[in-house]
Amino acid sequence: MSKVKEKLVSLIFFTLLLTWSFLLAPIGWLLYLLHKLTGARIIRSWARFAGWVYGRSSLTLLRPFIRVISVNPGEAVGKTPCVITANHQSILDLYLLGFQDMKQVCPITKSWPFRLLVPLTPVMRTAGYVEAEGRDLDQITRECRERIEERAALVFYPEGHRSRTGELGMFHVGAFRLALDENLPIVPMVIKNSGARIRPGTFLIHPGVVEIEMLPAIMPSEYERFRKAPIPHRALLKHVRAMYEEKLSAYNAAHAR
Amino acid sequence: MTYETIVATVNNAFAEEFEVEPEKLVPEAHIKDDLGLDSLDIVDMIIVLEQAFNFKLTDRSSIANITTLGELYDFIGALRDAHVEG
Repeated sequence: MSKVKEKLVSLIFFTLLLTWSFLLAPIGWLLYLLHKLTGARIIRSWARFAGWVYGRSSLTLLRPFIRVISVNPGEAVGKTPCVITANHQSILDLYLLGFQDMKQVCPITKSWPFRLLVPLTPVMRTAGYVEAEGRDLDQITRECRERIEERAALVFYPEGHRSRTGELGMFHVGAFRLALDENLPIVPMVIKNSGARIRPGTFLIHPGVVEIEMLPAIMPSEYERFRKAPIPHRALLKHVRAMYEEKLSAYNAAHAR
Repeated sequence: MTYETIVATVNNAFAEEFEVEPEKLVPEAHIKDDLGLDSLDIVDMIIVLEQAFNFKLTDRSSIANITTLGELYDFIGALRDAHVEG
């Protein structure tokens, strides 16, 4: 695709996305106000549902540019509260949560989604999305426990930031410590190719396919063998990371041909 | 235990446990900014190093002031000396 065409496609893509975001934003503001006024917990779950619908509808609207294939999307359904882990390649990855079927998702994220997705900030705050960057660990853990009580699926990006190379990065331990401490199932969500569609640091769209695959959940009944390791959460981390490596290697090998 | 052994053991721990690429393991590398460890990882790093060296990194408050890999090598070197003398 020529540079001019690439820029034109990107302009159309982001114009549509922004327009859609602003059209849906008043729902988020209404939920934010309702929650402020009443403090009712149910409004948090409505906001999480709204976030899920927003992710799914946005990428459905943008299907001419980015087509999402979803494998085993229902894996986290019925397993909440749980931890969903996802590898991270692109700004699209938050939206891709809408292509798995568990609707009560609560990402633990850096600050940029709160800063960059301004029209959506009220709904993210109402939904209880946890801002983890530059904050006290005890406070973050407390918020995660509140979401667990609300039976949400906590979504962690264990690499901590988008991969600049497309390679799987180092995993941090937070998700795995929490899963072991709280006895929560882990559902690994493998995102394939989103970095090739929008690379970190650019807003240029490269149309094509993105695939997500929900791997079989690791249930707390399986944790006993990890608890025997010298550092149990690191043993669990290594186990999950190996699952990602296997899936991503297989995908890359199949698509390199 | 020589200084070279300390360097090799620490580097091996970072590469094996934390998936840090070996070329990043230079003395001036900043443990958080360059090697990407967060505060929880650093807690694990202490445990991993205690197992690797088979002695307690007792003065954990001093570890909090360590920022680079070179400082970590020196810290363990000093502990080793104290251990031998003790």
